[in-house]
Amino acid sequence: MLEYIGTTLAPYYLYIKFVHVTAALGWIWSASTAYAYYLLPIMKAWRRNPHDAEIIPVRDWAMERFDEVVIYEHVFFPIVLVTGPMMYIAGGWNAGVAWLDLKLLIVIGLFIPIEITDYYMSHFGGNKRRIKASGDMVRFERAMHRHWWFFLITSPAVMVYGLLIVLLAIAKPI
Amino acid sequence: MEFSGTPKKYLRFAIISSVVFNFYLYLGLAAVLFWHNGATWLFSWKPLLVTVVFTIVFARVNYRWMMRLDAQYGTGRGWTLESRRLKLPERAIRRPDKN
Repeated sequence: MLEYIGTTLAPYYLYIKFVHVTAALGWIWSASTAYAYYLLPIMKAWRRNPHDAEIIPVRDWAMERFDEVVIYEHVFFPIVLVTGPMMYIAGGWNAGVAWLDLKLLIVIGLFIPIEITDYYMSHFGGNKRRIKASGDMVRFERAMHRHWWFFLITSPAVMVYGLLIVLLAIAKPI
Repeated sequence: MEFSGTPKKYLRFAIISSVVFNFYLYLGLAAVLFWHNGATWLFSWKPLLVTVVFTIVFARVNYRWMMRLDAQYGTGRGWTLESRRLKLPERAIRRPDKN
């Protein structure tokens, strides 16, 4: 079965790679400018002035908008996850390739859990706009804090290991 | 409601997450390569040293990064806060049609 899929996909390897790389770049960078230049200055202003009644509505607004900023990222990510295994099969790759194993370990151990959490917090139960519309402002504030915790603990790892998987894929150092 | 993040929690998280994740990568890679190729080069001292050094460096980077994100470092003098009267565009809540 895998052999049949591999033989069928093999002539399209470079086209699948094109989709994979394009989606990976979109996944990595699509939210970065909004995060760095819009969300972060506001969140830092809030953290320096946690009770400022003029900053809190802007914080709420920015975070609600950011729930939508990540839509592109969350469209690209499943494309990466589908085209990755397609390339693996079509290219005849195996588990003996160190750079690829390390890349997959990072994706499976770090990025998939992060993205599942991010989907939930941005579009499902943690969506700030819907929580606010429900009128439960205690839950809204708790969701806001939880999302900020999420950014705090994931941002360094996403940047460092995100860059590392791009390095592994391009330079193949091991 | 006060935000529950503190420098102590960030430090604890940075150390534990760096140790757990980097050793997961090291052991995972070593196991896969040993299982598939019979390769043993990852069990020598050099890859282990690289893992230990990277774990220490990443724990430090992670902690300082979290502290910077959470405005625990710096004075914020690069930004000024200006009061404005403004209107923020909000998405309308869509209600299902009753028809």
